[in-house]
Amino acid sequence: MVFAGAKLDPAATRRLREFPHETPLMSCVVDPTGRWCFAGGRSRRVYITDLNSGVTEPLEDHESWVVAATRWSTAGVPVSSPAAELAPPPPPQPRDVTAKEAVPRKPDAAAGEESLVITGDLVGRLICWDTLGRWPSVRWSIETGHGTLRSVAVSGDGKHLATGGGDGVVRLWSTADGSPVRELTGHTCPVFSTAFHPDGTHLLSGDRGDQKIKQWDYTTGKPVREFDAKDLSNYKGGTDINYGGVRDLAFTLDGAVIFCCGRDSYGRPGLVLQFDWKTGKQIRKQVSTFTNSIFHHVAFHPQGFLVTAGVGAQTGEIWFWTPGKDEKLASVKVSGPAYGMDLHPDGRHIIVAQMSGPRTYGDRGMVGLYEMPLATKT
Amino acid sequence: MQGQGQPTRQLPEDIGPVGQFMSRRGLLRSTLGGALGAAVAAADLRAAPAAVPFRKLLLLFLSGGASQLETFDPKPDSKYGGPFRPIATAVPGIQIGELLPHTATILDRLAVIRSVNTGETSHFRGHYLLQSGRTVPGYPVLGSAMAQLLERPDDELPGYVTMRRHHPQAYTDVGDAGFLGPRYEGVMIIDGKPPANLSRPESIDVAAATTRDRIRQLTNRRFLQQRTPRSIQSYTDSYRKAAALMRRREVFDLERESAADRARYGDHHFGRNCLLARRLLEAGVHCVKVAHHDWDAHFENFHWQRQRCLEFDRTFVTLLDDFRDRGLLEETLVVIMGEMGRTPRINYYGGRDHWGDAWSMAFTGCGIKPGVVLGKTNGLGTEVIDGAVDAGDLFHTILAAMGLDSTGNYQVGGRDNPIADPASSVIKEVLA
Repeated sequence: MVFAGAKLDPAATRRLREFPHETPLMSCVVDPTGRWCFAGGRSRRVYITDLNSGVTEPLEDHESWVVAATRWSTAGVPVSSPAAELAPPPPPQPRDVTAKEAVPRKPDAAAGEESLVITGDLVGRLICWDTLGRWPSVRWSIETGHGTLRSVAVSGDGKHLATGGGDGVVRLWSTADGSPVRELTGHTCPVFSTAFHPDGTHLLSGDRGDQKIKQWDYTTGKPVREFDAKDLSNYKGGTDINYGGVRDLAFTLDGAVIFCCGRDSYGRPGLVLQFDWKTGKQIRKQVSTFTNSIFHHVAFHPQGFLVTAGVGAQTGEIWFWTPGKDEKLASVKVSGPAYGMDLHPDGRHIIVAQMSGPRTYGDRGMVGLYEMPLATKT
Repeated sequence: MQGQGQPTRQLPEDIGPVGQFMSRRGLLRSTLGGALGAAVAAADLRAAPAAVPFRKLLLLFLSGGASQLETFDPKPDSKYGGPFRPIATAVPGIQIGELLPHTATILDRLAVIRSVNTGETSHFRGHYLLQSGRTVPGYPVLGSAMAQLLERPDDELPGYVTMRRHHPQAYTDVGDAGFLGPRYEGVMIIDGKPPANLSRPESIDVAAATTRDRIRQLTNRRFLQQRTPRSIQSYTDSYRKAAALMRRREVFDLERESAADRARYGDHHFGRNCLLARRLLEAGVHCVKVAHHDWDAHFENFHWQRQRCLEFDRTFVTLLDDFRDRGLLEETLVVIMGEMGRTPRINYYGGRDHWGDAWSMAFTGCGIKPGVVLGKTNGLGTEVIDGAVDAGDLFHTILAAMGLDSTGNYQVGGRDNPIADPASSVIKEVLA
């Protein structure tokens, strides 16, 4: 959940702080409490940063590059915003890494609260993190056994987790313990995006090769219909590879409009497509002027605007859009290629997972924390 | 050393006068004969049949440059190692990338070289270098060399067939027969389509076709009365081979394979081309090159290499199993090569770029010692630290595995020209 809060001014978005990392980053998510930033990239580590203190702990629980992350919580979990000034790091170390919490911690049944982060890697390891403790801990960790994971999403009720990956199969898992629920087959190429519709019945999945968005009734596993996102295609016959793909999916709060993002051609800018949920027709194409870019993430802000982030020629930018207009609302340059992006649950902040380092070959990473200021009354 | 006491393969003294034949060559190129290559005046290059080894060569050319780190030389603990894990293989203690699970199970049938250092990072130059063993232009590539060195008087089909996808860039076509002349150029199969005009046009009945051929032969004889027989030999060869292709056009028809067999090879260009390669080699072609496109992953290398390995891995092992079951492996050398490797460093787009300093290739089949893994790269995979080999060494080794003397010479215009670069040598460690 992302709170709407007071009226924001996305055009005035500014960088609040950056957290450097040893690894080029590709994914990030802020936990539902707003305190912990999970970032992953070109290593087996998940970097968990306490946004209050700035302390980061790398946890080597994955088996490959961590490229997918999402969160879920029960309603009512209190959300904290990043402090304007970092508090001094609390002694001692925030977590005793020699004593891993191997036994899954049960959620506090009495309080009924849950706050979870799920991360996935490129060889199929899926980890569910519990973030209500003093420091995030592993609730469960499974080897999905089907190769690369590219996307994870949690259903609104928190019961199901959907994954998409290299074999083109969308899989449902129990969020409670990571046990498999069912497989949704039909894509003929890797699935790079998944999103649950707010109606509580349907799931969308977008693929890399055919630019198809499939709608499933995830309660039965049956396919419902397809959305043709061919404007996200970028097939090069000479190399027999499609540079495009449905990189991310999002909905308006009422689920009436679908957003998906990617790029439309090699060397051309990233873009967002909108589809009408009722008719299934494409209703808008929002093309950026971000040179040589691809949008990897799109999110719908409760205040009614879109946030996208992407990668250009060794650069990164955040773009804001009003759904009803072709032109951007605003854009902000970030300090490196932005492969990961998440809206902070407080609704006022944006987290960006970036790469940094030498020209051409980035060998380090950076989590950027950006703030959207309150709109000033005129 | 050059040429002293070594066998000599005579080449045309008279490469010209090409000009006087241009119009006929142009005509031939518009026909099946042209597809075969209308040879310039050539001497009879065939050696005595008894001296020619009965061996075949299959080049599986990973065009664009496969990543050695995702295939035969994984570096799981390196910061450049990538996301994929190494897996155990049939050779104890040896691991390869997890994207090649089927290949891992038969690695004991392969010889792998992890220490190829060609230093070449251009697709065009790399294709030529790896197939000719030379940097100087004009030398024949492996397929053409095999077509000439393995040529027998009773050969019916062309000696060299090369297959690739349609691609305007087509750097796979760099080089070819060089000074051997068009007679030994490869017959090109693009997108699995056989050479044009293999079937007699319906508008020409058998009697008319026979009459036409008789007229052609009469004209040739008249032409021959005024010129040396050698001048016309290449045209005769072209027509002979064109006629053979027409008679043997069923070789190109994959529908003659069962649906199950086609499925085993995979429903993609590489799978179909490998199945066709097996049919061609069984039918008597000396060398087939299958170019597997496209490994040139400057962008999202790990998605891309995975897709390519998915195609390559199962098809390759299926092909080898068929070769073994049909007894082909004892007479066929299979080489997995490309024009370069890929950078250990990963760029901002998740790609690996061109790298010629430290990469891998593999062999199996005749003349090869199976289960050998030669050479070593450093921890990052950036340099060869043991057993470096270059393109010239690889060329010598392929010839040696084929039962040919790589220290022999072609004779061009009365001068010896080494078949393989004398500065390089055979890699004995991988030879049986």
